[in-house]
Amino acid sequence: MRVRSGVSPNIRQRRHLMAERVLIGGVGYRWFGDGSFGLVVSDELASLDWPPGVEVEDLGYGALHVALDLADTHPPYGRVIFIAVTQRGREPGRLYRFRCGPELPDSEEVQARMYEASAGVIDLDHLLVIGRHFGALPPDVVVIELEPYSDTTGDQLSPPVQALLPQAVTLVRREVLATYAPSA
Amino acid sequence: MCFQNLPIDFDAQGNARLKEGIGDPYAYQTRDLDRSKVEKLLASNGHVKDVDFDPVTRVAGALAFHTVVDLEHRNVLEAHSIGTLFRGYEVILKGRDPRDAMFISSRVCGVCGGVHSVASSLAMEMAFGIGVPPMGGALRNIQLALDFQVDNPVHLYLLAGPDFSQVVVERTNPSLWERAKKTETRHGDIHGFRTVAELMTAFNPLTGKLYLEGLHMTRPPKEAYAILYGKYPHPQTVVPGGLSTTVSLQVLNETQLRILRTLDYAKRGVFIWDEITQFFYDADPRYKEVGTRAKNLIDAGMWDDPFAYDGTYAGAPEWGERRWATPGVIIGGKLVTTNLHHLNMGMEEFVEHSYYEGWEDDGVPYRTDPAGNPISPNHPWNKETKPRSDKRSWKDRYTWSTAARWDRRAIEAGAYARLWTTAAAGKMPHNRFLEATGTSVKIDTPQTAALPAMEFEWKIPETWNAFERNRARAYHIVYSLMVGYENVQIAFDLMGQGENKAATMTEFRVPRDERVGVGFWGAGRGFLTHHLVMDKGVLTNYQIVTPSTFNASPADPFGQPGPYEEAVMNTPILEEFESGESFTGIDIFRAIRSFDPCMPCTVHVANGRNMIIQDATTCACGAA
Repeated sequence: MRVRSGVSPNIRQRRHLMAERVLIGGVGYRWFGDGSFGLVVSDELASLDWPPGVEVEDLGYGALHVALDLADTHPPYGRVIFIAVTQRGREPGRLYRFRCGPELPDSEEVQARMYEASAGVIDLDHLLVIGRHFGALPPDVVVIELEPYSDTTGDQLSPPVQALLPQAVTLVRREVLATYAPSA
Repeated sequence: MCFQNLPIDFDAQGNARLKEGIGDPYAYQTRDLDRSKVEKLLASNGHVKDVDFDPVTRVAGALAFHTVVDLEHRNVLEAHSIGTLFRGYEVILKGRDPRDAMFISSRVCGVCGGVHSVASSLAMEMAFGIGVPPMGGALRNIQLALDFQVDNPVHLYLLAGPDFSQVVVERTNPSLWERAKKTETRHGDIHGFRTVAELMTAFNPLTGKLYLEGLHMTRPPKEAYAILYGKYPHPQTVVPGGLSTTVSLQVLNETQLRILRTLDYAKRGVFIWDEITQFFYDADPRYKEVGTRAKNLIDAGMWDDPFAYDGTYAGAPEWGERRWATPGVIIGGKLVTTNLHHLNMGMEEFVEHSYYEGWEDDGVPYRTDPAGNPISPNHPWNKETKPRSDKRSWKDRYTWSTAARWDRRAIEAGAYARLWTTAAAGKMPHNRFLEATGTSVKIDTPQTAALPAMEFEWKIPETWNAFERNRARAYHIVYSLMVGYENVQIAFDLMGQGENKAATMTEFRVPRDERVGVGFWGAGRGFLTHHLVMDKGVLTNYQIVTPSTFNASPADPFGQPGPYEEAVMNTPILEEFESGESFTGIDIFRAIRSFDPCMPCTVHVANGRNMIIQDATTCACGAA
């Protein structure tokens, strides 16, 4: 297969996407120990230089309102990258990347998540489900997520999670800037 | 004499004092919770069942509810409200500059940060000894009026509404659904629904017209909010002494436009909730017992008269009574006080059935408030919260919520409590659109896009239950909009006089000596206070009492259940079901949801350390 420009079709496609807006959003409660990792990472990312069209936001508020804000964004985001913390029974103290598919749970579960989100609970899965349900998210949604050791509270990250901060920043940078790479 | 249980009486001049001749005036005997009868019934009767509900939080967890239901006799024998989420914001605030509290406390919740920011700045204004210029006061009032245009409709149409929807009623009470199809509405010309069945269909979750409109109508108030206060729900412009924002004629015009747009929608809502309430009452009068409990309610008042508020504790009884929502306490349906000092003196928190240690061995920092009135060792200014790891036990400890009480009574907070205290007091100063009559509040609304000028009147209800909570909340939306509208007019007037200062221009320093302060305020869900103690320029204690601290509280040491628990135990089971398997508990859901439950900000802890490692899930969800 010949690639005339030396750039893979995949990258060309991503370059096309870069013409669209990209959102990087931290999700979680602030000042909530390791549970705030997503917001701490997005704070760090917000202080960096980004290409035009890339925005970094603090999404530490109710999923319903985040979804409405995203739905009202014009032009809409072509790509969204969330950084969050969720216990999913994986090996703790590691970062995980996954792509959020288009599937939706049944309407009863969507409404159950609406109950929680409207009552002030901040949770990544609420945002993914509610955002998808109301068509507020683009097809391309990537999550960089921490599997926490245990629940902690306080105004600091625990030392092992603090140590993951540079890695998370690099992962998100790579996720976004890969589209600008001169060659594959 | 507003206190019946606390050891406080008043001299001839009305000054509070401890009753004489009592050795340890605030001491109390703890009454054990007796479950033997319920345990016996559970063991011997197949129709008596443990039923767990997750009224708010089925997925990520914050509030759970346990009941023992007698399905044959159709009543609830036992109820436990369980706060499963553990937070630590008060810990974080210790040792910090008090001004950090505005931002940190605002992040307590994912939806109502603005109310915490303002309550926090009020507490600081008291501690620092600063006031707010009139424009700042008016803008603060508008901010909270807008805040409630998101909170209250979201509750009515996205959270409570589905409990009255076609998909739910058709399943849980088929005979009611048949009746709804034949029942014509009384105000179809206003809300557009010809039958109650059409109205119920519009309540359907995720697809119903009212559900989707509820979602859509959060936009205008949020747009207005963003103009003056920063991004909803965590404002960036609230500061002690007012707001760090600039105001222009254009900004006020844009705010007014959005208030009027929301008002048109809010006016229709009153008729919708009147319609639903009447339908259920007519269908079966026992619906008046769903969620009923003692008429004991509390509200700290809010929306200050911009020309009366001075931020002092000494002046609180006077400026409190000039608020658009009069502070007060209702006991047994009667207003017992509107005095913010009394309100503060009556507050206590107990932890006998919560996952905390008591703080009785740590001494009592404050025996009196700054005005010399007695306060309890269990008062927020004296509270030391110490988490403890425990297995859940219905007899002992089962929640991260504390038992907040007033005069040692289980008491309820809500937007409706604000209407009730205001109506009963009849003290609201004259204004253009609102009037408190002693038995009601009258709300005069201007013409809006689709509806003419209308006068609404919320009357203190004869019965108190889930339906009246929801109905009152619909009136509260209109009420708070008109407070916002009135304050926009005040802001226009001030601007005309060249009074544009939104924050105090008086230079102030954070005091270095020991100070206390309290922010008496309100959330969309009702009562809110922030109590702070500071010394050497930093916070030494910070305590937040939210509406759900009162409502979701567990049993207290006197054996009284919390408001959710009491309301559920009084709820008759009117659902139509064949067997335990098909029982959904809709009546219980309606009872709890009518309070507008919200948990993230309710449970919090302060133990003097800066980091707490905890295992809330294990503690709160462990075996009984």
